[in-house]
Amino acid sequence: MRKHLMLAALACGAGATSWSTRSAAQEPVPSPPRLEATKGVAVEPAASEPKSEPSAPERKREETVEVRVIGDRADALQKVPGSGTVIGAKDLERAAPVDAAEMLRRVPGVQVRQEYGGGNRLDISVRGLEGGRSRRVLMLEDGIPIALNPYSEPDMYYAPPIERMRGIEVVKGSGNILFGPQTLAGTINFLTITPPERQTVVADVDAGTYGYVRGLASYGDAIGNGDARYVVQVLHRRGDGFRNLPFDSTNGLAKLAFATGKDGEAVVKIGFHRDDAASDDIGLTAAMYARTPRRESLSPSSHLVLNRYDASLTHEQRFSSATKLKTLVYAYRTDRVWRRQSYTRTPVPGERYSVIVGDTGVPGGGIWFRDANAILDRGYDVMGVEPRFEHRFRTAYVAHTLDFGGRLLAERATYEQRNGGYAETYVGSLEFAERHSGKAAAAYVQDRIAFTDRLLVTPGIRFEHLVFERVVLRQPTTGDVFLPGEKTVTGVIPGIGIVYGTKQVNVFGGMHRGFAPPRVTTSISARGQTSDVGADESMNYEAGLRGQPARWLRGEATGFLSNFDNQVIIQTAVGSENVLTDAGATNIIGAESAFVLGIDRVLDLPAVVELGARYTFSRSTFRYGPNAGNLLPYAPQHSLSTNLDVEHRSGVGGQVAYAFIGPQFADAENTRLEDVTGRIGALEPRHIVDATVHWRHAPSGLTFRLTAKNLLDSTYVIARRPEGIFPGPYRQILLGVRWEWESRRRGND
Amino acid sequence: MRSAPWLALSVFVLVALVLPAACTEERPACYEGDFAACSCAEGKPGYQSCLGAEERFGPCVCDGTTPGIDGSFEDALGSDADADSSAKLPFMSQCTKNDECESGNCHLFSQSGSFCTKSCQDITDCPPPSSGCNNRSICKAP
Repeated sequence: MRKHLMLAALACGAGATSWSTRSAAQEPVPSPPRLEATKGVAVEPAASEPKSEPSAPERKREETVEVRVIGDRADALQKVPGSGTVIGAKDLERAAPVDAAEMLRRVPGVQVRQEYGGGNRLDISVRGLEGGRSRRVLMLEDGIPIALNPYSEPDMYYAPPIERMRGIEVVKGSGNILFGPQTLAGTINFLTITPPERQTVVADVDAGTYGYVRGLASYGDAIGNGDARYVVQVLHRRGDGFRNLPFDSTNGLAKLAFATGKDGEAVVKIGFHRDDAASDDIGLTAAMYARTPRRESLSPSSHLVLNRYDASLTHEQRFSSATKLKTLVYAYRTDRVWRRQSYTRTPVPGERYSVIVGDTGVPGGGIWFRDANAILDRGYDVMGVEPRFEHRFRTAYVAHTLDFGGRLLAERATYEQRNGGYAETYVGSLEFAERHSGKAAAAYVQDRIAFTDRLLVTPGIRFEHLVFERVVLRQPTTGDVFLPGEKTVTGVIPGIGIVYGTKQVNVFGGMHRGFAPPRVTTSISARGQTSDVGADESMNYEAGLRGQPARWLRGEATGFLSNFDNQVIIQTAVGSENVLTDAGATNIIGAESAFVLGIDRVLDLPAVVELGARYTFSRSTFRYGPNAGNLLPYAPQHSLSTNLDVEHRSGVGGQVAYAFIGPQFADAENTRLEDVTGRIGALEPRHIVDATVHWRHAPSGLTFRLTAKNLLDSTYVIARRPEGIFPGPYRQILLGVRWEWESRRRGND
Repeated sequence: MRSAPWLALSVFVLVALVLPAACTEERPACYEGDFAACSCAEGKPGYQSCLGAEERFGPCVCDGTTPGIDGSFEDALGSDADADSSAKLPFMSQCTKNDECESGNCHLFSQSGSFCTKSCQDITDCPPPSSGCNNRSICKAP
């Protein structure tokens, strides 16, 4: 049992804080039956600022240097100027998720669309913002951007596998200005596994319906006297996909943490990811879905191959007990080639089609596929360096924690589009070619001012400057060309957050400027001319209350308002090309809430029994123009998620989770009636139930689990874009076993 | 109790081996209303329509039409999707629409009227009472 508790602690990394295990306002209360780790959270009253943090040797060995948007400390959320949520290792263990989307939809205010069976792409919307490819949310891994090109094409065609995570942090208020460039509504920071301080081996296998197989192997150890530690993990998964879109994915991660002196530590991380998956862009027509809602992909020959390589160095140097510098240096490359079978909804006499589907007698009701394709071959490079200082000092009776730093980032992209002579080719003849490059500089300063033990005021400002260039090198009509265009974007992003109260109960409020640079392809035309599609700009306000009024209850409620001068959304009008467009001025107003009820503590049960629930109301509307008052597309007003967790000391445990997503519209006109193509129309509310049970046998280190995703086998429309109806994932049953072994040797024992 | 995890592991391995394969759904080859390109004689394009009830494609129709453009396919197919396939007409029976024919192809021959026919490469593909394979790669009427 002792060994298993250690393993649980190890899995929990640096004592992750979460709403279902711990939260900011909650001091951890060890409870004998609980298996969760109770380490790593230093209890510190807010008024104690500035107080020296432990130096590197004093820090828990399993903790490594990394950039956190919230942190682990008991009062971490209290110090964040705005609302925030941490999903901890225990939450991940209980839910046994197959992808990050499953966990993120348990965060209030966050909507997630899981697009493919492999979970390799995420569409994340925070507080009613357009969620396509998560491009309006700042996505980080260990504080490092992970989007294709973070400034000019912040799309999430790569979603880090949940298996390499030990936690997820979400910040939605003015705390965003410490990070960028997107500060519109939210920052999501994935926390990867940390190197252990003992020799540790993990093997984990899942098998399930739709041909799903997943294997994970991890090995870690400490070197020498424990000043260096490392972990290596390899993950492979494959499946047939619920829509008969097979996928095959491999992910590798290696981390090395080592001391760089008495007051310094560094972490080197390298990673590799490969997706090889069928991937279509056209969904069912209305008639097809009505007749056969679970019809498989119409375009099985459409296929995507993505390779990603990343390397980073994170270094922390403590100059004194009050001053430290974290420096991030990183680079990553993503190659993505996607072939998409050509099709039309308006056939041409004399043209040859390979497959014709749908109702060909109704205009728009049929789809004529050609034995040809379009091959989108793209490569993205990103390189950045970010020094981040923290300095604590006092002025009279006021304590300050000053964060300041910056970022220099260079990014580059190459685009080629080829026309393939048959649907399965990756060769084709070159039609378009262009290259993009961008150079960005950012700086920020934020001062967390503790006026009293109970009052924290955190003003800050961020500056973003981006120069990007688009050079068109080939066009189908003119052949080889050289059409350069350049655009400069500058953003000044002020913000302020106020927290009043204690760790147990506090109220908070804040306001900040929201900013997101425009995509390079929408702001510079193919002829090299700058277009009118601008940056997203908004003013965001929030106010809330969070706390733990009783030992068995903790919760948070936040109201928010965002006024957009301009919001960029996907053009959803029929006949458009699904490009981005200015939606103009929009309003987002809403409220989100979350609570965790410790039923075991109320009833004094001998097992952990916790009920968590989160509800979000978000009304996103156009302010002016012909659609004034209408809801923005894909912005549901209501969402709810709950989970009931049970964990018995015998090792038996489980979780039942329920998620509700309210009705949505697919277009700016809020059309309720479905059009024949399936692209327009209301999306009905959906209900999803997931369940998992496990049995952990501590002496052997074995854990067995049985998981059902979409247990009720609900059939629902998850999206009508980019072209037609895409159903949500069907019921999937997974059987898994995990083996963990840890040496008794520790460091230089 | 000591052997319990290993027993569980054995059961797991057995179930895990069969689970991915056992739960793979049977998928039809095609859906009613679908068409697939097929090859006719002399490289001419043709299309075969999905026989909805049988979830498979019917014979190649080589009359030079494209479904959804000139309406010939739709006219010929009619709308009786629930027709009983066991009652369909055999080759060279007189017919009024495609769904009546086992071959899914009811063709109007200008001299003789409408008969159930099928695509062909040469006369060997067209047993009696058909009089052979015509230049549009379908079997001639009696």
